[in-house]
Amino acid sequence: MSRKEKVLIFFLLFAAFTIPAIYLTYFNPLVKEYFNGLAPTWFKALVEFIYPRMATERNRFPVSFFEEKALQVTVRISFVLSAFAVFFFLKSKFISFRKFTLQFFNGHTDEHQVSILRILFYSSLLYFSLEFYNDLLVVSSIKAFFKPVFLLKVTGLGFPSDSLGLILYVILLLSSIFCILNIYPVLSSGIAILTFIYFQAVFFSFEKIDHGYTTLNYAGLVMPFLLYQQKKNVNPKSLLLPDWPLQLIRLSLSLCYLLAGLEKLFISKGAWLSPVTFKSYIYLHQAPLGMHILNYPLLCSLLPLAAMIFQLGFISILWNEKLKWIFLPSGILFHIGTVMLFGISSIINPWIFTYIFFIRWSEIKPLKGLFKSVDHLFKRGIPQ
Amino acid sequence: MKIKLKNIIVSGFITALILPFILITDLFPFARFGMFAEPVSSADTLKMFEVEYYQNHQWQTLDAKRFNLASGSFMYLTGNYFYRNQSKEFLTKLSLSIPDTSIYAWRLKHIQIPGNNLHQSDTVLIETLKIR
Repeated sequence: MSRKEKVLIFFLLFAAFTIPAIYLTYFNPLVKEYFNGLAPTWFKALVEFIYPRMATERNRFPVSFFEEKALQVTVRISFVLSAFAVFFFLKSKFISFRKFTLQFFNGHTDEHQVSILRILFYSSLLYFSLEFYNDLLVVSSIKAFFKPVFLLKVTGLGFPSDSLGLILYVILLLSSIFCILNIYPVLSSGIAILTFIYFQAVFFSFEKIDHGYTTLNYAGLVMPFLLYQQKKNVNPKSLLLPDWPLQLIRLSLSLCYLLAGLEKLFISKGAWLSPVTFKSYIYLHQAPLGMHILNYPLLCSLLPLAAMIFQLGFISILWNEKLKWIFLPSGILFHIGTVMLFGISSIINPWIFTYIFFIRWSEIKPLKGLFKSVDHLFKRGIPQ
Repeated sequence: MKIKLKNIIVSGFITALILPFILITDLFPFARFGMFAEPVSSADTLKMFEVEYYQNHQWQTLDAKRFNLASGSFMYLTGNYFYRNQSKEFLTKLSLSIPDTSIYAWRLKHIQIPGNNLHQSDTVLIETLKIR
């Protein structure tokens, strides 16, 4: 282990242990002061900017609830810093792990793979946004309840007029089609994801954020960088492109599951794994299959455990690609299971759709030929 | 220079992904996956809200699908106004959103179901708004 690595690990662990102590000494009283209306103006403004639900929740729960949540934030900071310390320790001690981390963002992918992913991804974006304008018109009738989400507050954007909504909708559809046809793909992909996210931001500005499109958003935000790699590849003889944007998409999708699993463990302090919690969720949603499962205590014990193993374990497919043949089908079952047991979301799930980024499409020869012909349609195609 | 830009993008994106988890809040488009995370107990009281409007000499329940909202999202919105003690404001906004001249009044009801017993629900009338 080099001196630089030792200093970094020491610094991370030092921060991980001192931050909770600093919080408990200096910042914990601020939480009480906030509820008594005695907190400094900057602290009040900061809390209400980060936590817009505070205006509602402070009427529902006692101060102790928020003190516990504030402590959770510091514990999570310590947890993340410690996790980075462990990461750097493993990297310095184990050659195979060091090799893995060094290669992770420095590999290459096939140009055909990028083309196929581009066509599949923007076709899905087109499909999932088809109803957006209609949804906008319907939701505009309750514009009086509009409360802009974080992104709209930061950018200063508001609820669009019907005509602006229509223009943005046409832009969204056209930019997705341009991406599919490989016409100005980098620019089109940027416009497509920004308008896609804007529509969602408007829909979620009614005090409830839905996470259904989250993985599409993450992939869409990184896709322009992947398409830029394809565009700047001026060597017609080389079919290999730097794959770091693709790896970043895979990492972000895996982190979604990992963070969802950790969230359950942190918030419930392990109680989430109890069959009592699982049964209560089923009872709350009253889905027919869920209610039937209540008659099988063994399943009520095993299913939450299996869901947790899936969520925490999904990220392992980045280390061992073969594991995707276990985790991707499990993921499909996990999302279908959520629909069947709780009656929420739908079978056509964007989360399942983003599994396309884990498949090596370019190894499926008939597909390669089919997608190549789409690229050649507008003569911006991939080299022979 | 190019390598540095790549590192900045990667580090920035990973930070943005982790930040909602640390702060326990959504920073849209970056999400905190809190759905189904809070432990619930079967002994907990299930709280629901119902909005009704008076039309054709009878009270009718408002369907959230009318606004393209899932019933859960509408319940959430209703609950937020209730907990902020803004039930009257909620009904006023609702009456403005549905300017139907055949509607004479709006009301908000709070239904509490203890434990697992659907038959022992307790309904409380929170607010009534007469518009005509």
